[in-house]
Amino acid sequence: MSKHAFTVVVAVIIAVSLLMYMFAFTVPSSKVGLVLTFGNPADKPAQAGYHFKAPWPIQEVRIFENRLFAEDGRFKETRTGDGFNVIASLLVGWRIDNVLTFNKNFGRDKEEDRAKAAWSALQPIIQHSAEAVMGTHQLQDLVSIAKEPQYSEIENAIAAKASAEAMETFGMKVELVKIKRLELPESVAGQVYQSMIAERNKEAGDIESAGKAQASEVRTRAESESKQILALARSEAEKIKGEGDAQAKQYYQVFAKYPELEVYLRKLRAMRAMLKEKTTFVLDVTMPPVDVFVQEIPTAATTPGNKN
Amino acid sequence: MARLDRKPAELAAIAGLIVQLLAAALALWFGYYSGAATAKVLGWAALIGAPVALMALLSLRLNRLAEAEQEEWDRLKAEREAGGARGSLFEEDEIQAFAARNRLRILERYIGPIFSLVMVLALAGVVVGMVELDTIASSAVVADKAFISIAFFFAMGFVLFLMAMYAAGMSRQEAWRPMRAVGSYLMLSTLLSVATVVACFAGSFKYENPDRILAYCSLGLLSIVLLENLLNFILDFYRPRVGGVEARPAYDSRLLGLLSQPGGVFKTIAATLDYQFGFRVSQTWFYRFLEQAIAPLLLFQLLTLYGLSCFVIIGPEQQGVRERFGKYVSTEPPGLCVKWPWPVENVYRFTANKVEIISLGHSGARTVGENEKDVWTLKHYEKEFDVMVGATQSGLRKRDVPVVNLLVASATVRYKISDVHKWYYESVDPDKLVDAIANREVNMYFAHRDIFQLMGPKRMAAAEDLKANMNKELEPLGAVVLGVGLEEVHPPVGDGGVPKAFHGLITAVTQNQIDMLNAQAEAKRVMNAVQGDAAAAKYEAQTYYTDRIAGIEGAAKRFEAQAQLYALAGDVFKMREFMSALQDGLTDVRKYVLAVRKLDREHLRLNLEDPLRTSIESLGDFQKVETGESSPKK
Repeated sequence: MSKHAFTVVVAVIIAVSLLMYMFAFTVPSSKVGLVLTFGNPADKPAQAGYHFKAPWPIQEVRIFENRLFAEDGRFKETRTGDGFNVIASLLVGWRIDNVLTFNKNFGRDKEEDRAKAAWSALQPIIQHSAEAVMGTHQLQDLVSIAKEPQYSEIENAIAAKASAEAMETFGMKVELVKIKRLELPESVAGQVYQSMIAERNKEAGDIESAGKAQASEVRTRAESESKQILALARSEAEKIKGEGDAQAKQYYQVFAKYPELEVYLRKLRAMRAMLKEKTTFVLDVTMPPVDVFVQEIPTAATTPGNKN
Repeated sequence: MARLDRKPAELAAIAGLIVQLLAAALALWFGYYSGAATAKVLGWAALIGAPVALMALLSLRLNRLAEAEQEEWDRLKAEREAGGARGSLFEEDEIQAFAARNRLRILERYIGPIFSLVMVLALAGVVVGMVELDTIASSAVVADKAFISIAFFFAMGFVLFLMAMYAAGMSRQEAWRPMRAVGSYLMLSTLLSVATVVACFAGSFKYENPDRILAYCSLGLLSIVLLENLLNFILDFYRPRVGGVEARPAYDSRLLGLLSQPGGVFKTIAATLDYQFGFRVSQTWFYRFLEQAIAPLLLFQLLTLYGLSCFVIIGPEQQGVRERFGKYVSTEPPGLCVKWPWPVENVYRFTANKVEIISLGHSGARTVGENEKDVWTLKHYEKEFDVMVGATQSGLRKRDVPVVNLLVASATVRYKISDVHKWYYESVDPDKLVDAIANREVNMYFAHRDIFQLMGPKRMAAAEDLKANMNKELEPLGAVVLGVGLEEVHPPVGDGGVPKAFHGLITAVTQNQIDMLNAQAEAKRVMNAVQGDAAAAKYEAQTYYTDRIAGIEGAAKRFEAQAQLYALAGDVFKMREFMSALQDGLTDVRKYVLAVRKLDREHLRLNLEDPLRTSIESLGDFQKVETGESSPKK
């Protein structure tokens, strides 16, 4: 009996699982479901949640992604309005906007292959739109010191143009386009390198010559200023000396009382100063005090006080 | 006892052959239709199993014909003996009369082993072929076609199972024993059909691995059968041929036989244990309990495994999104999350608490070694992307050269998920969007900046601005940028000319600074010197001034005193002063006294240059007088 009960429980579990599998389906929040009755799609897609359906082959459910797909576009060389070639890589964000239209085009593909197939279909539209929009803009709309780049305007224009076509044809909405990378063709980049080298060399030359000129100016200015300072200092020194001389005048009146004495004393002072260094003095014996050598040596009879 | 008719078995063998061939064809077709690798293994296994039914058919038919021959022979022999004929039939007649028996002998002795060898080779071909061609790894179940595949394989498995059980049941009769191999291979196909159903069921929920695992397991089973058949083939040569003992063909797998006979597995295990231990282990209470409990235990295990889907462990670096019947319910923090079992509730985990890092501006491996100098003239990565930077027209560019500069800018962006709900539900591939937006912001920011500002003083500010700009764009995606690092911003390497030109510029700037510093130093030196000279001149003047005033004042006062003395002593004062002057002035001076009278009437020519000693001595009667300490000695 217990063996039968066990078998029945297992059989019921398997049967219920199979029935649930056949008669119901779940749509996750990130997706939408489209129920096809004998291949005829329902008017509205099934939103997230648990839903019932008739078993295959009466009804079939196709699940579609509801989120934004992000795809990297190819690196494509394009020409700006002012005739410069740039290589732009775009990131395209798109989502399924009209499930019924999308289903007509890509419904039969495997669920995991649908995005790939849809992107293959969308890519030419994006490229066309990008070429068209870029052609109306100048390079300085993308790169410029003077002007704020108009990335957003260009991206929005590409998205709007591509979306209008993709929506109608495939039920896909291009929600965002981002200029991921922007490069120059190799040959143009080489010319830019050469221009950069030439500009840097010129700048270096300018800087060097400007530096030398500035250095020279600094030196010249310093020399000029030094001469002025010295001249002023000398002038001031002479002024001070003159003041000293002027003030010395009152004292000269003292010397004027005995001019011959002052002259005599000055002579002595001068002689004293002159004889100080490396002097060989030759004295005549007639000259005091060495004249004592030629004077008679006083005897006892001539000695004052000896009156004998 | 009436002999069992072999014809029903022959019909069953034909049916088995047809079923296996049909199963093979349909399984292979559905295998490629649904993408299920297990179905492809099933198709090849069924195709290999089909000839086994043909061999069984041949064996049954030849056995039947041989028996008929024997009966005919016995009847003829009896008639002859009854008709009084003497002697036996001719030997040649006997050979012709037992043609079917001879063919049976050839079948059992030669064709059977050869067929076994062909089976081994065929199995080896399937196993090696599927592994070598990567059939399993490259297969994936198409979810949309899984349902119809499940239905088909379920139905096919059921038919195969019935057929296998029927053949296995027939093989219990000795006369129909060749049907055992047919049943075994039909059961193998049944088992693989069940595996395919499971694989397709998992595939319908986008789980691809179960199909691959089951396919590899199926190939493993075929490999085991292959080895067993090979072993049987070899051992068959050494098997003693005992009369009356049934010969079992090498291709009749004993292992597969376990599958096709109800209760066969347990019976075989029991018999093995009984034999090994020497007593009837299968009669013990433990063995009986195990035999009864094995099925509930397996079910319990399956239920336990299913029950585990009620628990999800969210790691410390993760956050979870809980969905009930596909609808968002809540965001789950790290820890144990208890939920309704699958398929009622699902919890998707994301590494939301971990900081992710993306690198911009380059690709490939780093090409500068750890110990190598990291300079502008070297390429740092296998591929470095130039970023366009704004420029001003210098007049040096040709008309067709765009007014832009190019820079290599390597940056890292550190970000994390700020809102798991947005992160999961907004985009299929949010990581790709983050990468693209980060690249775009760097390009756009650099496009409007000066090259020298980016390489120099504005670099830090640029990183902060980029972080703010990226955060504005990433907020709707549920991501937040924590930091942007501009690791490398330098001129593109190209042929090395651009970095060298920049180096030249830096050298010029440095030389400029050096020149200026030298000039300033020289100017400072000149100014300092002139300040000194000026000060010296002023001080000298001051000294002169002071000296002039003070000196003259003192001299005047002294003169007044001297004048008074002069007025008092007259020539005596003058003589005293003269003598005093001579005394002071001639103290350290060489002195020569010319002790000659009337000197004025002679002309003396004196060479007073040093050395004087010789010339003075030559003067003859001059008297030399020693007057001071420092005077030259004689």
